[in-house]
Amino acid sequence: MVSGHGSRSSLGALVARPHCTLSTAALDDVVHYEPGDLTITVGAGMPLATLTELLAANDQLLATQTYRRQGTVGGLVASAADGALAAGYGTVRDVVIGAAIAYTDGSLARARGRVVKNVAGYDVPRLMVGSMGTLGVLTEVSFKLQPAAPRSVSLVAGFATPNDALEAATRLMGEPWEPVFVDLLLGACTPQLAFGFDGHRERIDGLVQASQSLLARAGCLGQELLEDAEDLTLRTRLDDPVAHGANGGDALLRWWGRPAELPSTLERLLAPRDDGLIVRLDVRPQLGQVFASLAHSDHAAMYAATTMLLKQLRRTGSAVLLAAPDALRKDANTVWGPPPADFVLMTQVKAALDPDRTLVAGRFVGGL
Amino acid sequence: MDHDPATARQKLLASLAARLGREVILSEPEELIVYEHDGSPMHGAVPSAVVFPSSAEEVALIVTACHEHGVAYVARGAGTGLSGAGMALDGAVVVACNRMNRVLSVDPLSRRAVVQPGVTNLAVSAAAAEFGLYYAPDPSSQAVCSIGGNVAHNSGGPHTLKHGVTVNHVRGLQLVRPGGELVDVGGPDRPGYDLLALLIGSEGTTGIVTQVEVGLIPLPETVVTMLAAYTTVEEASASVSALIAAGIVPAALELLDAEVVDALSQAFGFTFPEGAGALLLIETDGPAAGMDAEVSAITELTARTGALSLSTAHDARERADIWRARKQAFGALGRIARHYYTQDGVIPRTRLTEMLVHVRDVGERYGLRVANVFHAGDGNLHPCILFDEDDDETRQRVLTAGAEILRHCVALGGSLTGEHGVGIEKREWMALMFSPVDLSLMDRLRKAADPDRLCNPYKILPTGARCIELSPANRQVST
Repeated sequence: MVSGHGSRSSLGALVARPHCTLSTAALDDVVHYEPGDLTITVGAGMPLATLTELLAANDQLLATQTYRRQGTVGGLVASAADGALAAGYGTVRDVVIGAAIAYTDGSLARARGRVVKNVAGYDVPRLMVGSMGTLGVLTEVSFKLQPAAPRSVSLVAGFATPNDALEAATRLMGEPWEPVFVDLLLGACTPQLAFGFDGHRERIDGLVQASQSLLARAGCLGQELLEDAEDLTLRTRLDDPVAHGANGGDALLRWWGRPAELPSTLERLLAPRDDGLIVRLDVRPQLGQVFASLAHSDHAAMYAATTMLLKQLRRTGSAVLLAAPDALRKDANTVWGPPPADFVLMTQVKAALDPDRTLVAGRFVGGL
Repeated sequence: MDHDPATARQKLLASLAARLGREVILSEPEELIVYEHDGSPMHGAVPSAVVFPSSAEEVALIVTACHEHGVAYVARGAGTGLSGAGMALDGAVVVACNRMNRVLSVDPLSRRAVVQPGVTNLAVSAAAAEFGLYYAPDPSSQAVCSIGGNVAHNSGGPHTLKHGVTVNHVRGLQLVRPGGELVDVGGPDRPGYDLLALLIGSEGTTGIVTQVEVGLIPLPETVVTMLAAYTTVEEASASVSALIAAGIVPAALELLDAEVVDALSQAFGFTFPEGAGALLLIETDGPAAGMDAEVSAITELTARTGALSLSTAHDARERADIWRARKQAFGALGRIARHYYTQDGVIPRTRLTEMLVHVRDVGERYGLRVANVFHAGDGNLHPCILFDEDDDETRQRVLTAGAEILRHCVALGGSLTGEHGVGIEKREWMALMFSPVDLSLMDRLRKAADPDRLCNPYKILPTGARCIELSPANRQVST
């Protein structure tokens, strides 16, 4: 098994204790940084916090991870751990432009490169995104970067009901304002809509004014503009649900699907429950994603309620357990859902790159 | 399976004719000559037949039959590719997807559309327009190039600087795999490997796409299009570097040099500022709020880096005029030379100026005029090598000059190809960028997708034997 900081160790099915854990901690160099080209190549073991500091010194960022305080570059890519700003700046998949990968036959191979536009050869680096370390060991990754915006702000508004908050979010996303994140926090005390803008001062001023009017027209109970440290605190809190564990709950899952399926999915998740499961949601409507934190006072009942909920959610999209008690992680199909229609091709790719299943077999979809 | 290729092909065609009808198959020499080339004038190969399926099931039938008879096949869309990926080497059969040209659905709520591979790029945006949406990747050939071809090449265009390329906008594919299996393939929208990453940009070597689900994005609230004129290309490229370094990343940044300016004037009567040796098209889009400040910043920076003038489009017509100059640039070259060979390379944006100097130097040393049109914002250059005499010596000189340009792109830390693909054109040059181990790993993946090696073989990866040869008689490409 490959390990950076182990920040994603809760992901995937339980596997037998590996014979060997390969640590990437020593692969933490800056291999090549070209600030004027907005590209960087770093070792896969570089801590994300270190990367953020390095880029900030040049007023640049890798937005999809810029609020991370734990985790490594390799883990970010292998687990496709998109942050809250993915909608505004792109997902991990969108910003990986090259990689060097070690394979189980001992070969070290590079693919694509260090420039932002490139179609030379097969897109192996992007194939690695989200592959959970089952195809090869990332040793270096190249990214395209973004310039840091001169100003960042967030707005948070409370609503009487989840439907009111969702309606406000829908109206917001129907405007051509390009928020860099939109989050709905539901199932907690007061339904909340949080969103943010990045840009220069004049743009931000105009968008804030327009947003405040929209929120008022949408019937919010109150709204708050956050800047500087408060804005950073909010974004950091929203950025990585996995880092916060199950938000005090017993399990964390992610549902994602077509945006058109979101309202009915939320209805199912927020409906009064007779199975004792307590559900709290962080919804990213721009991306069609829902992070659901699940809690239950009874572990046995938790297992039954969670597996039933997963089955229901998988009717309208994909649902994956990101953190859960061991009992729920024993079966890869419970964690990831049943293998999809193109699973045969996945197995063929796996067989091509790791024929002996040396790399953490059983952890991923379909037991890959 | 027949071991004699000619016999195998005859049996294949007889089988397809019996099942699909003779009328959907071209096999006469005078019919097949039309399919000798794609959009590149430099390489050609006549297929043994061209078949026109009308459905995914028919594509599956054709592919299954090809594998049964051991005959290679290659998908073709509009034939606008520029690297020979759609060429049928060694008597392969062309599977032409032009009849599969329907937009099947548009879902404005989910911002998705499902289209057949023969739909043109522009038709997708046309179908989405009534919902205030459009399809972002916009190659210059978008009025004619097909979505299937875009998927094969991971096509980009001028606006990919802000909005990305095809792989950033495809949500799912239906594919006929080598062997004939029809399968729905996903990527980040479902758990598992991102197989879309493997297929998109694979230049038709991993199967034939029969349906594409694309993502649509909202039309921007405001678009501001500007055209800056400079005395020299070096000043224009210095502006590009300065904009990127200042953190201003517009929606599009396109550079045209003096040769192109001259061609546009001659061919279409465009008029440009006196003394203009280079033009930089700058387009920014987004919310109206704060747009004035962004435009001011761009205006100030371009003036500071040497712009002679900066004109701004005031309405849709003026915007279209500016873009017409860019999108007709390649066509305009036909006014100043009988032939041109478009190269496609990428360099870090910080090396733009020195690369342009190198391109000029190569042109001078080889006695060739080179016109430059390129996506300066992402370092993707298209030096167009102009020539009049269509003899083997001239063609070889053109190819060698092009190779030298690409070699320099790689030496500067760039890429052999930003969007046109490797195809047959750059197959042997892949060794400039990748080691034998790198290439072997890619071949492993390709073989996983196509164990029989019948799906558009001889493309992308080097044969390892020799460089591309051009036979004197008809410039047929050897495998």
